[in-house]
Amino acid sequence: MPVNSLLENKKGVEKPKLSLSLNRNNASNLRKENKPASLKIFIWPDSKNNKENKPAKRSLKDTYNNTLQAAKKLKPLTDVPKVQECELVVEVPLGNFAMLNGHHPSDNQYGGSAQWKAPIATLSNLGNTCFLNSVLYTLRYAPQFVHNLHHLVSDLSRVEQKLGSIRLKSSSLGRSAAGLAASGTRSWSSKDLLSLGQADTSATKSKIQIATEKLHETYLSLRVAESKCLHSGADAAPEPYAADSFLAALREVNSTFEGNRQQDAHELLVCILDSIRETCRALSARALRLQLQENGDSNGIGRQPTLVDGDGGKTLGNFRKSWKKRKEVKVNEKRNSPSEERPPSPDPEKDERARPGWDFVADDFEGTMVVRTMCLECEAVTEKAQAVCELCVPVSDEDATDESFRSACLSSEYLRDQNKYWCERCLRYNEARRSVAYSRLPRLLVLQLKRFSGGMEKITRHAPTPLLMPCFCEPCARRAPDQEPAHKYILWAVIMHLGQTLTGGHYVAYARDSSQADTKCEREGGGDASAANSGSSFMRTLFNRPRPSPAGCTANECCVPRPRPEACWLACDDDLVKPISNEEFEDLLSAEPKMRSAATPYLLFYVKSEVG
Amino acid sequence: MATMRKKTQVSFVIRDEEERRHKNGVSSLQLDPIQGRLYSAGRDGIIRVWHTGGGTQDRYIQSMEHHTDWVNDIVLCCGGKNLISASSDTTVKVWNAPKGFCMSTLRTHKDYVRTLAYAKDKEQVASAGLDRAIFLWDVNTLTALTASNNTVTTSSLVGNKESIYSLAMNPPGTILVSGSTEKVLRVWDPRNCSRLMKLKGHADNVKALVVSRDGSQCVSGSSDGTIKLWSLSQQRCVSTIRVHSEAVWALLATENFTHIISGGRDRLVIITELRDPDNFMIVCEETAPILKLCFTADQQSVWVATSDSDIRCWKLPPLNSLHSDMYNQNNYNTNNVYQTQPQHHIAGGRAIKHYTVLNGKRHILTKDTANNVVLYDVLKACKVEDLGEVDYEEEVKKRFKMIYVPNWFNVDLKTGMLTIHLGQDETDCFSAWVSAKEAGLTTEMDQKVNFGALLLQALLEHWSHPNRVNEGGQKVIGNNFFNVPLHTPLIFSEVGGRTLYRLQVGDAGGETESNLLMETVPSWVVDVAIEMAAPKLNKLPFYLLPHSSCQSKQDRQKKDRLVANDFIQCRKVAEHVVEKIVGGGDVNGASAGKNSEDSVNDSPEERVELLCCDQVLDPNMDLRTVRHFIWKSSVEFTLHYRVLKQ
Repeated sequence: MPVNSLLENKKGVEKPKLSLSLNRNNASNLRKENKPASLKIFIWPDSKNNKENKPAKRSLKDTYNNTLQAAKKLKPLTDVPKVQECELVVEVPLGNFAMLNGHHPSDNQYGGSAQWKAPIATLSNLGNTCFLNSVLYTLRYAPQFVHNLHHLVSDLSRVEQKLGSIRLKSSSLGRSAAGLAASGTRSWSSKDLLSLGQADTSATKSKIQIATEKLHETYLSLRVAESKCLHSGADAAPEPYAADSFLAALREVNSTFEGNRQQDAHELLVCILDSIRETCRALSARALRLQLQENGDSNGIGRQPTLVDGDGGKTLGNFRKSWKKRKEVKVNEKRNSPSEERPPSPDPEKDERARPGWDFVADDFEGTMVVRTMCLECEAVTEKAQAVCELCVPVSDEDATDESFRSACLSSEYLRDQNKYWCERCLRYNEARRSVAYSRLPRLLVLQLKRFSGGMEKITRHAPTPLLMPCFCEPCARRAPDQEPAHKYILWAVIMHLGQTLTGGHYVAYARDSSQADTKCEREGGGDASAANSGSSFMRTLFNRPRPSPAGCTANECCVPRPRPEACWLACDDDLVKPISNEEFEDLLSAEPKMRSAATPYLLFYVKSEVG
Repeated sequence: MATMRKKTQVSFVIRDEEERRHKNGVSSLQLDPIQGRLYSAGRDGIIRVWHTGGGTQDRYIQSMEHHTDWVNDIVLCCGGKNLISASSDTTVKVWNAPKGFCMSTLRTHKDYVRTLAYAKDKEQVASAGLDRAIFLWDVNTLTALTASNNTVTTSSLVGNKESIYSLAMNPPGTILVSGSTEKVLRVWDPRNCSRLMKLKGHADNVKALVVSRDGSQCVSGSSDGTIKLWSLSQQRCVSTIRVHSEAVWALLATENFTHIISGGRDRLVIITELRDPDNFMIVCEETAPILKLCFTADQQSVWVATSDSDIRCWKLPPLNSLHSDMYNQNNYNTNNVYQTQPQHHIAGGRAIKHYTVLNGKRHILTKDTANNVVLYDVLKACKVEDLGEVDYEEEVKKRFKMIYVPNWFNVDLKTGMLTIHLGQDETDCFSAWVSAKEAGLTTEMDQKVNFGALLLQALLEHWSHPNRVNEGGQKVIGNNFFNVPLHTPLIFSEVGGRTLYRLQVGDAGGETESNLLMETVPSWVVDVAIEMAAPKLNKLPFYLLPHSSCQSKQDRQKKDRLVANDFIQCRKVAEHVVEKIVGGGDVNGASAGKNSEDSVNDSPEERVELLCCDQVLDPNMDLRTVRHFIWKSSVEFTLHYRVLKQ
């Protein structure tokens, strides 16, 4: 939040130097950074004993492993080489999706040496970068996020390659015709042309786009680290990765993140999402240009690209608008028949998702807020809709219930006394009722707890974090009380803040690593041959090449986290990432903060799930 | 007292002397069956009285004018002798009903008074509104109030947590029910002001209530679209009637509480049998949302008031015919209504819905509900021209002039008539200085007048203020240019709040009026309107530079910072340039100031031209207009000059 960002940082930056109790199982995690002499001891909770809620017993081997891992960290950090992995050796069988609530029989699978079969890459702290790491971890495990990012980045590079080659072609053409006439004396060597083309591409590559690419690179490196570790066969955790190149790119985009200060994780999240959205737009514009040029080439010079179904001639703005309209219609249809299944034949949404430059941030993170004001005299309602990315929820004073987020988001207030409403129909000030509702909630719902609103002091009060939340979008809310809502929201990540101020303290992310290999990719493979065949469209032939490999989406081999044997919660605290059991996680959430500096949930991440 | 008081705002209404038609919606109706009169409370602030007898072509009897905002509810009491009214001007007024004058004003409410209830047997009236308070009034005490005996004790019913939109009492005054945005009904015993119960069930605001004579039953109409029948003895909802498709705003129960007649936002009047709500019938469809229903003397018909200005009378079906399948087969099939033609119709007037203040800040163009376009003169508080049904936007465009005059008043259309609020203090109200000649007030050159001052002088010219004497001992009256209509209502109120005093311009000479004005009129108004002090002039700072095309021999490149009255014309600035800058140095040497006019026959504007943003300025244009239309900024206003002839 911009308000938060205004908080001046104290001079002499506070290092995240704290001791905290992660849960009631006495799994303590003592960290003292930048003191090379101190030995770091990490005590892993033994999940075998969790059900009995007893203090953890440590096996010798565990201790050994952790000490080993800790010792490794003292080594100087080296850049992880960015090698593509050549093949996938072991497909780890996927465990069934563990439900969040309650006991799971395979909890005992963690611990022991088994966990090294599914190594988890970690991020090192570059000096007060836990805000960055917590967001990077969260997005890494965000359902389909890395997958979508992968396609964005690969589409982008493909389009750029194409555009680059076209530019070369057209500039040589220009030389033979117009170029000779205008500046006949000057001769251009092919080297000149080449450098010209390159300069052009790098010039159009905005800082924002670079940041997006670096983000993808970061996830790629994490994946490589995991694979390497697996292949090496050694009982070692992957070396922590330093996301410094992404941080540098980020600082280019937004100078707020310069300097070694603690930052608001929420603000970073907003910045990352905005960058991706901008990149999507840029790609969409470039793809359109490419499409026009390709058509111009094949149809001969001077002919209008008539084959590109109407969108072609329009400007970018129109293009996007028409797409929005299409989406809007879609939403309406959906609203009319929320339970009805979509027709199996041509799916415009799928088409849309496959479009290069599809703004998945808008689709995944944006909801539509509707503010309605009713004059109490004429009872006419004026309505305003706007896109919202994350919902802010106050930490309520009363004993909050599971419904508290819903009631905090769906507010209704009266405009009265000295604050009456100017009614344009009555032409006077009248009392009015103003209500806020959501006509659409995003697939990935982000809730920001307003812990830093008002003064500088953090509100540490406990607010329950439901693992499962009924949907409160309008179509759901309007259903009869006996009817279940059409969808629900499942918690998949929490970013906790420790400490008293936003400018200080520490961030830890808890993310659910539900294997993403089952992600259905609309773009490639997945047996979706009909879409590939039916597409005579240029876009499809361009972007589905190379032909879908039977293995599925290329993202699965590239940057998405390695599939783990089974879904579980990961506690991600900079270079320490460890799986924790559902019980541990729930204990963590239900704990009433005792100290002012205690860890409190700050950002909550939910994923939408259709009921039934 | 004056220091603690909120700022006082001076307002007036531009209207005809007699407004025989409602200019806006009609919120309430009361019938005097003995005299055959119908009282209607208008949102134009006027209560009108009508003949109900058949055959009369013109039903209008008289207007009862004293409110300055919507009249929301009226109650006729004492057998038709008195009328009590509640208004959004936050007052409750007591009227002599036959003669139509206001007897006293009750100012206990702090916000809009929205509703009244009447216990006929006890001559008791309750008032309530958006300030959440309910006051109980003994009508006989109220009517006995005089100027000297002007205190009244009232009991108040407290406990409402939200704005009250409806009230009802039974005739014996044993039960009082209130409806509010709290969505619950609160029930009191007005005899001892005790709370009896709270009834929950509605999902929205409750805007209409009726209580049965014995106080055992109550019917409520809500914005949730339902009508509920409550048993007060059992403290529960007996039945929920869903005959309307939208909010229910008006209810009327038959004598013996067997049937309920209802109306609301869906514009339908529906009669329903309370015992068996399946028996209902659409009586009629109105043209606008229904605000109030009132029986005729024989109870065979209803008068219907809506948010339009018309009042219509509709015949009711015989009560025993409701179960017939003829009319009620389909709830909302409005072809299936009992009556399609009203029995009587009291035609309403037109409300002004749009206005544009023309650039000169003197004239206003308005458009009403019938798309009639009218031109008004604010300065003289009168109508100039009725243009009929013409293209409003076109007329506004046609009247555009490139002149800029500061705002000195605001326009308010809440009553459907033009209410003008003058600027709230001396700087706002007296900001518009103009040439008297251009205002068409005189043929003399160079006389400047102030719109706000002229108007205040005219509005208060009949006030016999003791200081109204000039140096020669003569009485100075008015502004020597024009008068405003004597009937013009003049209103003093707290800024954005309660009305302090209302009178007609012509009545200011009376003794009582004069005394009340002494208490109310703020001193800055007295200074200008009575003591004829000239308001302050508005100074406009600007920079004067030679134009880049003009090579000045002298060191005149530095910026000259000047200050002038905002209304002076460019011609004057040109004169200044000729006299002080160009003429002084080049033409007549040292004796420039004295002889410049004799030695040069050319007018200054022919010798020097002024530019702003490289645009040559019309010598007749004044500085504030240049700044507004050409410079388009309020800072660093800069003019350039260019010498044409030496």
